[in-house]
Amino acid sequence: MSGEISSGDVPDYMLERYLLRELPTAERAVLERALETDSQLLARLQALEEDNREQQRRYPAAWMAGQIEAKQVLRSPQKRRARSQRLWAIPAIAAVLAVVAVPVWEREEEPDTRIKGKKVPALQVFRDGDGGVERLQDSSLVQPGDLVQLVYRSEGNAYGAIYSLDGRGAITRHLPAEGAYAAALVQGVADTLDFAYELDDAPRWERFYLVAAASPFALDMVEDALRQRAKSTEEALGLSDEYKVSTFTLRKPDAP
Amino acid sequence: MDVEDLYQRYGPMVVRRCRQLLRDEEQALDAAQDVFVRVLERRDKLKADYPSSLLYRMATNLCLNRIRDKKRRGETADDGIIEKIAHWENTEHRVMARSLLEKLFGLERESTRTMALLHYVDGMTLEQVANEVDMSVSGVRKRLRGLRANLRELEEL
Repeated sequence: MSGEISSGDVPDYMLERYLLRELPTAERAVLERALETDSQLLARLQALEEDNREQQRRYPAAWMAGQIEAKQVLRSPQKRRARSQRLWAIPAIAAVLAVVAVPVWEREEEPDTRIKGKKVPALQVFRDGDGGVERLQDSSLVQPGDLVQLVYRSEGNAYGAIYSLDGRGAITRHLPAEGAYAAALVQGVADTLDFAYELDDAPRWERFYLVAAASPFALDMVEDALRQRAKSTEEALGLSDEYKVSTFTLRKPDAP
Repeated sequence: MDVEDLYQRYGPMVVRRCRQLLRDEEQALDAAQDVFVRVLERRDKLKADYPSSLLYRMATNLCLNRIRDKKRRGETADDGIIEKIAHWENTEHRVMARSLLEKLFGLERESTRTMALLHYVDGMTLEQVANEVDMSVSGVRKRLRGLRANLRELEEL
């Protein structure tokens, strides 16, 4: 490329490579001369830089790297199923489901569940069965040994936690993996938990709770509420209005 | 190759490209992730000097495939120029399958669709496209001629 150019002559791709410092020397020189005088071109470049910053804020590289590596595991011939008797972490299967789950979610229409300025967070459950991955409905019948994957959508709630309560009254924490406070929820996209779980032989049901709020909150408050629910057949946790709660129940074969 | 470092540097560009073609943020994110998965699978092909070139074309090609597949499944009624270019590969594949030389030597041809998109939609000159795909200008022109004959809409651009 030689001579003078204007904004209309410069494809986005050229600006992208300029920002990455991967534009060949001659083209870079021409572009830099144009940037000195062409305000439209400069504005386009600045818009790309702004979008870079926005993307780094919304999709941190560490999070995206995790998603990418999970998909890579899916394509690996070494992926294997693991088995256990209790809800158990199975990263490879999580990756399988993560990939399949996203397009299913994409086709879904946005639920209109806005409450007091924030939407109720959404929880979805997928099962990896003999017929492939399927999205389960609330109250679906499941079997011990089924592998399930949890996917959530924060719907604008900044912090959250996911637990399950089974028919024996056992409480299992799924998110966050550790710590005493709620996790920062991924915003804007459906997020798949890092692990899939194998359902055990607890009777009657397995119920998942996603509790979310605008501010960080202590998990022992949620766990206290869950322990109360374990003693009754009620589903609601009875938390105050600042907490948005989404539940998802899977029925076991001997469920009433 | 550290995927986090790679994404940190090239991710925004790839997401933007996917967003531009797919016009949907979540689908763009999903497609961008797939681009990086492919990069990891073919890391030996990644040129050390200008990885952006390969990533940009991989994103373009992957998105065109998705647009074509959506069209086949009847999930989109959109029939714009990008969709027409995306659909072109069917014909191109049939033509390529008849090429004995290409079969014998296993030549890997740059997708005509990608070249068409770079030229007709992105506004790159034939020379820029030729540099990008490592072909001669006349070679690019010849490939685009075949496509243009089928897609009269391109001539009006």
